[in-house]
Amino acid sequence: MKHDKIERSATLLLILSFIVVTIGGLVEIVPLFWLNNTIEKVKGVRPYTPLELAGRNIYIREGCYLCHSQMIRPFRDEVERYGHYSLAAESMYDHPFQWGSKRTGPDLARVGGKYSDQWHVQHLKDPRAVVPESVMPGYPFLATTELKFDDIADHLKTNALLGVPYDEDMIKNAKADLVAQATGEDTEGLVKRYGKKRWGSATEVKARDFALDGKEKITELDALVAYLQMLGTLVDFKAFDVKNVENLR
Amino acid sequence: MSLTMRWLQMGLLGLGAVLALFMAANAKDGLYEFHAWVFFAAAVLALFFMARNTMSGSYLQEKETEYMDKVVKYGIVATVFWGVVGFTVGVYVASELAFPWLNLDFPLTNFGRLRPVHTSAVIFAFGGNALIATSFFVVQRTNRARLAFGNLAWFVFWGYQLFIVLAATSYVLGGSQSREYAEPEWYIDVWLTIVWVAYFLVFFGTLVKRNVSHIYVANWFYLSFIVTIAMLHIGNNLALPVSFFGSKSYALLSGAPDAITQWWYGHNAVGFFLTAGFLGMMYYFIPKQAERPVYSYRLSIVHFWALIFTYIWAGPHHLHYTALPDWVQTLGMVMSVILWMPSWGGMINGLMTLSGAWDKLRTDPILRMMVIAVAFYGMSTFEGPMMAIKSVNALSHYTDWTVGHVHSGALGWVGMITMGSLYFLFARLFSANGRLYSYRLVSWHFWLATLGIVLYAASMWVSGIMQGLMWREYDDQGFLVYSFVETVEAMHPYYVIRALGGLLYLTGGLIMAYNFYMTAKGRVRAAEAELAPARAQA
Amino acid sequence: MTYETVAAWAGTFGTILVGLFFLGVLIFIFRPGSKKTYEELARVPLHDDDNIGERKNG
Repeated sequence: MKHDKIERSATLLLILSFIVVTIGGLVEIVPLFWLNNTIEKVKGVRPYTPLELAGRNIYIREGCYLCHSQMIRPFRDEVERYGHYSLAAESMYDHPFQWGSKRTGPDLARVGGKYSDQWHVQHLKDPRAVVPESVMPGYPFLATTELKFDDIADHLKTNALLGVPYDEDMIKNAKADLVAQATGEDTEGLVKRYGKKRWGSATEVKARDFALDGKEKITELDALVAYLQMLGTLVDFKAFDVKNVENLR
Repeated sequence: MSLTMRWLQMGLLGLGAVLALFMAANAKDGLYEFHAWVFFAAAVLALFFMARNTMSGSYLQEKETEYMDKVVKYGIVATVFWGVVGFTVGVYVASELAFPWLNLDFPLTNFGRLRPVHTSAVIFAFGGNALIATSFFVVQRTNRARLAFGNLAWFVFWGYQLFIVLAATSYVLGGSQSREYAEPEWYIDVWLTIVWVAYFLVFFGTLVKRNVSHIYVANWFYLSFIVTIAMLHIGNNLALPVSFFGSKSYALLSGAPDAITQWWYGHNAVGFFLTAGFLGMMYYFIPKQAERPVYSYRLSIVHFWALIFTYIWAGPHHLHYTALPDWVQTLGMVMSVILWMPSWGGMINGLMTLSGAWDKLRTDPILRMMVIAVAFYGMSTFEGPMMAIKSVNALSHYTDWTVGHVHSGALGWVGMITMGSLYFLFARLFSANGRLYSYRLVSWHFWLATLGIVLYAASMWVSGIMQGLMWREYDDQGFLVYSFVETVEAMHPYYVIRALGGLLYLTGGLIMAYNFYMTAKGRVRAAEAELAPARAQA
Repeated sequence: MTYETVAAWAGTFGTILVGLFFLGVLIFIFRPGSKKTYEELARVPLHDDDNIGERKNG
């Protein structure tokens, strides 16, 4: 090995250091492209409804992931506090993932259905009105900002291109499904496309006036609450076999 | 550089301006439109200044036989400026956690949008400018060559400032990919890629046209930083925009593969941006300031290869006990622990460079700053591997301990080595008499910053470990003792102390800015006029 | 190229290659008679650096 050469040739130094820094990534990341979603066999995970997807985008925009994780680790205290530990399959349609890295606030992986819509609306507008010790910022502006969803079909289409199983029917009806879910009216199509029957989810798609501000108004708060209320509600853990070797990780 | 080349460059800028107008005209959302106008304004401004310099012929005075130091000087000023901005936002977001009413419940001022402004400002604006400026200085001096490709270095400087402005405005206006330390949306990522390629060309081109046979080791660290960051940036930001005329995009990967990609990036942003690059700084500026040769050049070679090889594997320790496959976690843990060795190799090399010059520590506050930087490097590269051990991580993860760890590295290592190098460069490039306005003030800066870090790290250790323990505490009936919000309440005093620590650090930064300003004006503090330190002769 | 081939390559050939490279680096830098070279290189930052284009250090 002629290290002298390396020291003298800029190109050689460049190529060698590039090879050296590539190996680790190749070994650790590349395999996951093949292993993804085969890690555990689990039923019920479905793509987000248009309204939930819009809510998720608000969650991302406001940086909620900076203080809330969506990843329950397999420890007794976490499972008792938050629910069944998170499975890889539960975030398989998450572009990008929202596992988070810090719990300034509690984990939200299974927050869906734990509190009422009323509670969420109050809490998001003024956290300390509901939880006096909270350090969360208030988001009153979500309740007054109308949700923009003219291009929601394009969002579904983009996700479909990335492998999320949105079919043509879902993309075509994206806008109608969003309105149906935010108002709770004419929900047959929505339920047909995203419902329990089709996906085997543990709970049915929820459709109602989430922000409790009147059906004619669809705000960003409607979308965010719809998203929060579905988190972790898809997989039926009574049917999930923890002891199955295939499900171990 | 020829006139034709300049016309060509102006043509490109004009084309850029037209493209920006086209983007603005078709924009589908407000953020994208705003940024298209920012692009347009930047292109027009650049065009104006280029035309003016072409007309006046001032570009003809630049000689191939002189070092290109003006771009370094601009970089130094930018580093100081963004440093103060980044520290200020940091103090503000820290105060928001202590006193939540400071969020003002207004989109622009909420923690969730300001936190990326803080992290990007300190890592990329402060740290990035410091790296670009010092690498331009070091690569010229150690290779005895002027920066390659004419005014491309200027494109790198201004292009990078544009990237910072786009990123920061994007966060507060609601554009984020939610990838930590890589939040900017796709079109900003594309812009950074262009700037980074130009940066690589300037640096590498200068290496190629060098006038010495051996490439000094500091350049290896800078080179590996530039190359690896390019790889990480592209790999982690692969995304599909909803529309080419809109800001929103969706990540190419999802779930577990997306998570490992993000932390492969996130950890190596620490490893290559905040470590390798700054080690390049250490290997040049510590010998320079101490006026001592590197302790062991052989060790620096081993240090280099071992560090860059090992770092890249350590990412999975950010995902212990998550839904990531077990073998990846274990591999990440093992490599993280191994990483301790090359890190300490580097620390020893930095510290021992002072052997035989320890007395200088008493008289030279700049050197003191550099030494404490290396000490903090040693401390946080010991703490890091420890926290990467799965059983420790089970307690520390998701808590403030992580935040404290990051800051002892960022404030202690990155901040101190940068500011030490800045003082060196400032005396060298801005001062007519080769000395700073005041070395007393450097001493004040040193002590304020050190005390600030101690307050910061200590309060985060206590709050992190305490909260981790509270989360898992059971009573004798087998019930969890604390509700989540009780653990939040318990954090309050530590959040106040942390904000105070940050405030001290910021005060140090302001003193540095003042000292620089007075130095640039050619002033010498009256009381210090007669004690001309050793550096004054430069 | 499948996962198995990538993993197998990285786990065996890649590791050995990198290990050998390290060994090579170690042997090379401790080659006899190199002490002086490295002592000189360690002084590179200290060289008077105000003259561009002047050949120094070998």
